[in-house]
Amino acid sequence: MIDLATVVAGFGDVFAPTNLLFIACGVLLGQFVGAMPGIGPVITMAIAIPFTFVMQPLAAIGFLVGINKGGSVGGAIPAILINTPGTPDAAATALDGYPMTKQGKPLKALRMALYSSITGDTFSDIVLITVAVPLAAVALKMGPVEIFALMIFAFSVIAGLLGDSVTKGLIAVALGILLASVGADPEHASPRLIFGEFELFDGLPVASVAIGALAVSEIFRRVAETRTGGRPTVHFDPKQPAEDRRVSWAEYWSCRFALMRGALFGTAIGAIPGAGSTAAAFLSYASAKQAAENPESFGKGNIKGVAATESANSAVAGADFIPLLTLGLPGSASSALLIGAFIIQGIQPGPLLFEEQGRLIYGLFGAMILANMLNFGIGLFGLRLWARIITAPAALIYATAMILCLVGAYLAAGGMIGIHVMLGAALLGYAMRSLGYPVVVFIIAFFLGPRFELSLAQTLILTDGDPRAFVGHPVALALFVLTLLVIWWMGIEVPRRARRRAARNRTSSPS
Amino acid sequence: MVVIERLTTLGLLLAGLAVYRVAIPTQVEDIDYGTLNPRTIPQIAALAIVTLAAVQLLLPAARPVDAPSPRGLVRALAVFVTVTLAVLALPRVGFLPVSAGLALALCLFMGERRLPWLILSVAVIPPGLWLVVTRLLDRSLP
Repeated sequence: MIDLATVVAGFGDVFAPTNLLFIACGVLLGQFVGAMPGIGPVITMAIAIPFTFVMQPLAAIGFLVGINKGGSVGGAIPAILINTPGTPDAAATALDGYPMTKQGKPLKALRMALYSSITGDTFSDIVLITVAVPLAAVALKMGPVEIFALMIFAFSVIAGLLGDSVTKGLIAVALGILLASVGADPEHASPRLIFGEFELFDGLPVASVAIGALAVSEIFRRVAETRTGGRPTVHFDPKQPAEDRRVSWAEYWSCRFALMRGALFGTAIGAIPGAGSTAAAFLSYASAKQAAENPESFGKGNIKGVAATESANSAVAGADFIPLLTLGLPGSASSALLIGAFIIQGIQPGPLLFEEQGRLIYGLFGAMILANMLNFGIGLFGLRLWARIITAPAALIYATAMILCLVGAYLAAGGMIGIHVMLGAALLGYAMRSLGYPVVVFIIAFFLGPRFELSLAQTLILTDGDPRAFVGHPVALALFVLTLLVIWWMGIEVPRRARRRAARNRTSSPS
Repeated sequence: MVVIERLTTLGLLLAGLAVYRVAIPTQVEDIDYGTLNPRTIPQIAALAIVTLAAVQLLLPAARPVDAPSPRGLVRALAVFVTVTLAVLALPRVGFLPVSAGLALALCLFMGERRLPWLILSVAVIPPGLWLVVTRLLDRSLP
């Protein structure tokens, strides 16, 4: 049980000038990269991780959380202004945001997106703070056998939800675990798969793999696709009426049901590993449209459409931390990268964190709330500036990002080995993206690989290698059964229904 | 695209087999005392890849793969080669000239011809980054 002094100290730590500065910088950077289609907060977090080596844990995690939260605000900007989402989850925002721009109300749409984002994010942060401690207490009662079964279940869910198919998702999991085994074996310290390269004795550098697979592979793809250096122009009409430039309290209040629905969707879906903010945004939009008095107005510049999507996709950010902090299981690329950051700081995320590092946890909660406030303030003043940023040439953005990746990979490993690993991971990531294998799943499995091996070893000790011993672990047994159900449902039943639907559509459509 | 899917899955299956039959036996010691043999996890992973690739060959994904066009692939390869050459030059030439050259090469590759942006990418960003890393963060670069 965490005492009040720890809670107060943790929240107080956030206001240390260094921590404040880094959280603010993270939010600023997040909004900046979120506003630029193609870069996004995930790539930026991957590149930023090595730079957080020199920071204290709370500053480092607060900085990365700031990038993540700022990114979800920034992603709406190009979606609304030029119909090009800055982040995938802002695709739903463009459905009504861009029509509002065409109606001459870009600033109204941007402000509503900002207010909705903050609303959803704050709601999910409050849920996280409320449920995390009791959930962690429940998770602590789980033994190594249950943890092992939970990891298998989480892998199957993530593989099914984040991949084109369950099979490809599971292959990505296996690849991640295989590459995580490179380096010294944890029990005997015997080198594995290092091919004589003793710089790999400590394993493949975590940050280099993340930067390569997530960031550099995407940069390769974008650079290969970009043929011209320019970007579209954005123009704000100075003669625009005041009511088209701002969101009144009455307008905000009229969207309250869409906002709450979005916040609930985002929080519920964010807590499920692998479900993702894009799904939350579209589900919330569909629900808001269905519940509206005039559903035909959706898609034509209805402010409630913007409210529903932005509230949902931002609410995912806070809820994403629930499985991460309570179970140590990331459910998305950003939370997987946060695990990497924790590991680099020498901290093992999971339920024990609440007992061993309670002050840091409450500092993190404080950082999340503060990041929301900063997101609001910086967003209000920065909207017009970010609108200009999206006109920066793509060539400059990607060239800069590539150099940052080289620097980050070099710093992460302390030498050229980091860059070499980054290049290898980039090739692998590019191949995976091109062939429909989920890179995020690979990264999650790679980060969790050592923990998976440890929990397997502990399970073997406790069960003496006898599968019948699982009868004494009903929770683990239930999780294994659920895993099989998930694989059957997502791997066999859902594709079969999709094929039947496709066949029905082919026979019923006119030739 | 179905052909590409099948060929790459076959390649994956063969790679998994190569890891299981060649890489692991030669690169991982076989220690039979203790809880887990060092080969256990790599073998499980390699076997999983082989099995799942076989399943995928027999039951391909409902959604066909959306592979890049040959032109896109060639361009991506060209980018990779450019970056690799830069990486090879890094320890010999140093960070500043290599990063400036790489930035310029990527900008030109993407069709950027406007002088102010090219100057920014060559003369401002690499030195700026160098200053941040070496002076602010007190870390060294090649």
